[in-house]
Amino acid sequence: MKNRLEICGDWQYDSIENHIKLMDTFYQENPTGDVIFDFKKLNKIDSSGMIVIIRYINLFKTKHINPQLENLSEKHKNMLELYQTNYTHKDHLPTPPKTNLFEDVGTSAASTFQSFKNFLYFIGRILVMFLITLRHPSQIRFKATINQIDIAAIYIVPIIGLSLFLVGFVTAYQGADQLGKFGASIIVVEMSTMSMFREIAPFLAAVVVAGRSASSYTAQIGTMKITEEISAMKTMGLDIDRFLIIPRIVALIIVMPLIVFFADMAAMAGEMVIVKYHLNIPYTQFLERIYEYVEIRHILLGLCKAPLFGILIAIIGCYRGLQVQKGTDIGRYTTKSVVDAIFWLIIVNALISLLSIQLGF
Amino acid sequence: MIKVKNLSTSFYGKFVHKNISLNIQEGEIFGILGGSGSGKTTLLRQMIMLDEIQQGSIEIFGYEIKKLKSAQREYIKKNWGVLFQFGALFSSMNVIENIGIMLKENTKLPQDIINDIAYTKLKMVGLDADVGKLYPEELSGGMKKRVAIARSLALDPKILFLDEPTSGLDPYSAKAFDELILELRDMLGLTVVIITHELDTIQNVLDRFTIISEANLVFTGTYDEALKENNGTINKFLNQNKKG
Repeated sequence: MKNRLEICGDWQYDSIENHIKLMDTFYQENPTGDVIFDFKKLNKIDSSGMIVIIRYINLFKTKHINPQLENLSEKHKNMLELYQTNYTHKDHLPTPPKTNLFEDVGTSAASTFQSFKNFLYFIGRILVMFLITLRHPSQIRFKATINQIDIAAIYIVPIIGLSLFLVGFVTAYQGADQLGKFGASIIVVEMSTMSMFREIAPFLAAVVVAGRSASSYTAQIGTMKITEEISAMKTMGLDIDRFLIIPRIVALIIVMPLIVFFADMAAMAGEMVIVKYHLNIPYTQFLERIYEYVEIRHILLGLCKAPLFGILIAIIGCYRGLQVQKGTDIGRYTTKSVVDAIFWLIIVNALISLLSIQLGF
Repeated sequence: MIKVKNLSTSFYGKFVHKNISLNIQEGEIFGILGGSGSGKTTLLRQMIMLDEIQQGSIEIFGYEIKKLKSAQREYIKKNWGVLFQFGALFSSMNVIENIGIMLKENTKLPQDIINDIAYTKLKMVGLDADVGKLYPEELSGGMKKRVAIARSLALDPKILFLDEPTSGLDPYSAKAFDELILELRDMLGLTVVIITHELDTIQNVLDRFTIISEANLVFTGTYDEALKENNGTINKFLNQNKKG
């Protein structure tokens, strides 16, 4: 039985892979008697190599074999001692967490309920604050609000303009094509404009605002929480709701109708262009037809929805921002706030849509 | 080990370094000192190839880092370790995975051997094996820095760069950390480059240091030499620290 192992060549992190295989075979062969590690031909060794050797020395020791180390140079001996005193072996198997279906469902339900309660509490607090500010308008932070309007509205104009123009273009094109089969392609003018004013333009504009503002509110407020700006404001007696949240909500309430109106116009422009070139209906005729068939209430409905969407987006964005506890949370809550905002936009929009049709508005 | 020659750096027309040169020898613990905004960190970041060298040159292991090919660049990067001010541990990994990352990415070693190496390094920096499964957010500032040192030691570097290793630590932890640096140097024969302004570190740990002031190196030498020097800036720097 072979019981002498020559440790030769380089034992460094990039070269020990094969040595480990040899070492392992040697260990598996169950050498008996005196096991000898011969270091005569060892060239270079680093900590990784040393730790591998120590690992096998210890493995032999568990079999009550004490390997003899031969021809070990002074330098390597010191190194061996250093790593031997520090050598730690720990089984690092991840313990699979015990899962219990009932427990999981229960915990998740309880935490969902809790976070919903917190959200309601937050909405209540903001509502009270909002009413107070309405009674004392001098408390509105005008500069902060104007600043937020600037951020929320100005940079969003090009993207809203382009996307709604294209949406109007495409819906009118499709509509004209389908209605053309009935020889009624002219109806596309009032049909697509009406649906654009009532549903599509306000909703799409709100989705774009949600993607921009909800995420930026969460990120801004989350960052302020981590840099302890929020704590500093609290200790100075500066009200977070008044300084950070109300300006953002007010900004979106003011800005959203403007954005929606702009979106309406951009979509209509898209329709006008395609209708002119596809159906040969001149601009003047298009506008006359709208004047005749599209009542003002359609555009008003869209504009009335807009502030509601604004409040929704601002509240969700700020709430998620205030939930941030540590640096790594920001990304997670920013994602959550956009997803939540769009989800609630869809729900609220559907409710309003149902109600308005039922009420004949 | 490291040679800085006629290095000049300026931002927006203002010089951070003007024609500075210095030599760091093998096996020494070398300090870079200077007030806030004096360009200590810029100098370090240029040494570790994070910031570009504008004028002059820096040599590491005899290679001029401006003219490196990418293979040499990789070689050098595997032969140094860098400790950032707040540890810069990867927050998505636990302590053992953090320490083992370089081995995992650069070798095909089996996981249990990487774990053995990682746990051994963890013990070398004076931490208990139970820390291994924790995540960075669960560690204190001092522990984070120790783990970060263990991570930078994974591939047996020849040079260790430390950016303000003891700032933000309580005096006791700071002292323990200073001792750890000395210990590691003696154990592993490392060359250590430290940015610091703690007087305790300057007195007890550094072999030599340089002081950057107004874009120039006003002094390079040992602590005893600095005390003998009759220069206002140097005395002010060392005394200011005494008060602080």
